[in-house]
Amino acid sequence: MIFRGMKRLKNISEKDGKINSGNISELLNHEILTPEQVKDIRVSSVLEENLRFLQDLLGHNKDVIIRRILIGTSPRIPSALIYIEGLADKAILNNNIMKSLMIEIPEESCGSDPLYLREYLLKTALTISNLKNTRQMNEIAINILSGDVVLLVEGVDDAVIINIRGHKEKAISEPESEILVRGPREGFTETLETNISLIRRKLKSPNLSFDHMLIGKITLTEVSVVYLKGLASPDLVEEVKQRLQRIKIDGILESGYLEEFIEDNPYSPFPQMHHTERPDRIVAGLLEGRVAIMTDGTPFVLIVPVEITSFLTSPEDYYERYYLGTLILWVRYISFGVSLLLPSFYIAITTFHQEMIPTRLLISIASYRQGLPFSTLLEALLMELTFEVLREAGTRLPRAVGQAVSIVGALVIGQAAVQAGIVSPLMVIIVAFTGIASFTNPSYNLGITMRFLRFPLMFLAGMLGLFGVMFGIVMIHIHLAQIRSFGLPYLASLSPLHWSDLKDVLVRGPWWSMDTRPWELGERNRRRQIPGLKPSPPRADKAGGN
Amino acid sequence: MMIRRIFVTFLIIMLTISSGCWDRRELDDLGIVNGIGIESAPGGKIRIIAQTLNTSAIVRGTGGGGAGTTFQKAYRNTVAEGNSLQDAIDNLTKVTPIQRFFSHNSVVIVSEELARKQGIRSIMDFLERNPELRLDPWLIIGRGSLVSLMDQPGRITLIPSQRIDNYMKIHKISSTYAPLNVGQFIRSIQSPCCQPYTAVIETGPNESLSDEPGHDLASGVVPEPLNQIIVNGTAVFKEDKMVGWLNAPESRGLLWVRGEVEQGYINFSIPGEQDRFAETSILRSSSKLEPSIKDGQIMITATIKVDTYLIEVQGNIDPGITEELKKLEDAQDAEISKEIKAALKKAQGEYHADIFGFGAAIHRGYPAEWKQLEAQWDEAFPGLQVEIKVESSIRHTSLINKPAEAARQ
Repeated sequence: MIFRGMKRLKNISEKDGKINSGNISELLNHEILTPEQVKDIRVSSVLEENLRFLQDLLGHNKDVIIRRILIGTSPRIPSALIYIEGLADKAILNNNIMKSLMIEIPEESCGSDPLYLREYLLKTALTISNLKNTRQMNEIAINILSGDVVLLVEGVDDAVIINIRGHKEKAISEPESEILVRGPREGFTETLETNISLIRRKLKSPNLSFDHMLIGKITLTEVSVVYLKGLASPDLVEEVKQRLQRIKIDGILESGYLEEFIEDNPYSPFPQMHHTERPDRIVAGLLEGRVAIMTDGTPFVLIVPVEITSFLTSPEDYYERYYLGTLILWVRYISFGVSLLLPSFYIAITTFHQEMIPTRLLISIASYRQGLPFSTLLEALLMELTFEVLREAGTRLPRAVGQAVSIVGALVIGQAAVQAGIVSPLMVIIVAFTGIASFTNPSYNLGITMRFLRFPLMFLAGMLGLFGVMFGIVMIHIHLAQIRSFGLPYLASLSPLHWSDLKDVLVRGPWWSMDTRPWELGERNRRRQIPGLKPSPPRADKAGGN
Repeated sequence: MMIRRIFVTFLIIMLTISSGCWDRRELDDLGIVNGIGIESAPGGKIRIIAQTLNTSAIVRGTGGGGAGTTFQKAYRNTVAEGNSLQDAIDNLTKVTPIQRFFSHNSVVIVSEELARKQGIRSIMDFLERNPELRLDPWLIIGRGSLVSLMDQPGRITLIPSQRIDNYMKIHKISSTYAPLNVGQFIRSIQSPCCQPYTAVIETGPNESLSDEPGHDLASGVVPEPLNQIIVNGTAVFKEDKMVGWLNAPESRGLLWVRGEVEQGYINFSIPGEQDRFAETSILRSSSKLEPSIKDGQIMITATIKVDTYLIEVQGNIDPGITEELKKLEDAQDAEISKEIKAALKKAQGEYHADIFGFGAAIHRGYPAEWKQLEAQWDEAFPGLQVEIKVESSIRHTSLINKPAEAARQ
């Protein structure tokens, strides 16, 4: 059946512009139809033929509206507006399109010359800013499905696409996943156009480029590759586009789909690109020569390439004073280590290397372990698991119930388990501190990696002690040293080492000292600003000279 | 390729599982030993007293002691005998079935009897060889019964061995006893040019014990303990055998020469006044041992420089006046040199043990001559001429210059 359908479709297209098959609806019963397949079909000058085709293609759905109207007063030319209910702005449609076409059109313009009529419609009749025309049926279909209004006129083998997309969309609000104390409060929304405008507003450069493509055979999701010409390496941009074009998938619902198709190391637990809801973060990345990938339908924009240290920075580091930025950066680095290693260090030291613990601490740890039923490893695994369960429960539940979960969790796990003699209070402290340390990680995706890697390290610690922990750390380092993100070494700036980049890695240098862009990325345009911008009070001799 | 990768991963996992866990011990299974006492037992055997901590009693507190609660001791001493130290330790497991853990040991107390008669070389080997034992616990000599010495808990420091450890840690405050830890002791035994020494402790009656009724358990008050630990000077060794003992001033004499006095107080009578004393607090001290050869005879010049400040003057003297202060300084010099001479007299005259490190100084100054001298150093040391030069100065007089009495005149 499918093959027959294909053949039939071929028959349609072979007739080159002449539509005489109404069998598309039958074809749709058997196959997923993509606009690509009706690429060769042109708009006919017979209105009814076009309408029948579109009706077959789009189905007789309630939300597909075909409004037949008569243009002008005399002669009255039959024509039709096709749009999807809820995606087009009805007020504009009524006032600026239908009113213009049906009432305000002067008599002489509706002559019998279709060419003149077409020109008139495109250039004079419609008071709409975003207009274009096409003869391709596939383009018409896509535009209707995207929310545009299409005007078809009897005798004109051309369609007018009127962009008055006006679907309901979320207002721009503060991104919930990345909250700052100081910094812009706006976040991306689910609409690509809005997101593009948010970036444009921050970056008024003619070099800013958006390269659009449609990904997803069925969903036809619009994806935009954003970069600054002259700053981002053209090879990188080309590579990003190629990887994106390789994707042949039914649908893209979130940028996470794309992420897994285009990353360099599909088996690595480490995230190889950033996702962010913050336009300021994207703009900062673009200014460093990175490339952003925006997906329609999600506020999460991807940014590539990235190195591991950039996961541990927050935009706020750059907005607050640099002393504070540096301090907080190091707090995060330390918490990063703690969240990965603290439980395994505790297990290793208390079960293998008791001589390393100061005597008084040993006494208190030993006293609380007296009479506990489980080994330290099992105890730690149990508590970590409980913590993960609590965290997951807290994340998924509605906010009002989530609070109840955390209260129950803190009471049951924190106190009752200790009082019942199942876990030691020290283990509770360790697990709690590990959990809190992992919350300092500004990137949710790297945090998940830490949560995941903690468990094998705990097993290694339980079996081989500190030797096992070191083994685990070395293995992780070997892995980090070999993976890349779009060709950029994952440990970039540290290994391979670039001294000039350490101003933004080991410390957050003051802005007047960060003269150069990251070494690996800013190849095409090294300088961010002129050197010597450090402010200083005007000197007396200088002032006198002036 | 895929199969090989899975196989390698499997191998790594098996390697960790099969080779892991062998020396794993849970904390609650360990008996943390905080102090060891070693004494000789009849039949040439060695008796060991291991002080194991009762961790839950320490952390949750032994105090309280209200009705119905039993008083839990913060530690437990177990005693066993054996042919060697390890043998005795092995026998300890027959007394209590726990794995003893020696890494947190803080004191090794050797009985005076064992140290005098058998020498401590046999136990030094064990202390040095065993990887679980560290070299930083104090090695000290215990007088009298070690069992009673190791059973004197404090009110604040609940564990006797930690109490003894604290005594040793604060030895610099008075500088009147000179403890060595195991590592330092081993080093000085091995050195041909100096002899080891260490602090001595014993139990004595507690003089603050009140006779009055109402200060006992019957009236609900935990009384002062009967006995207390007393640190009593310094034991002098020759090789590994204890040969004698220095009292507190003599011990400081030893430390003056070794340049190890850092804090402490010097009490001396004020010149020209009867039964009036002045006391100074030591700020710093240094010593310099200079060997010289005069007429084929080796002699040592010990220069001790001491800085102090005045903390108490009983006499009618104004230290604000330079001449008066000079008098005090001279008296202080005399006091220091008296302490040194007393120590020298005992070491040279009675014990023939070069605890001062004079041999080492000669070794440094005259390496060639030392080679001949080394073999007969034991005989030569008692006759060694030592010239003592003390240069002490009182740096300031604390908050006031004149005592109240002097001011009124």
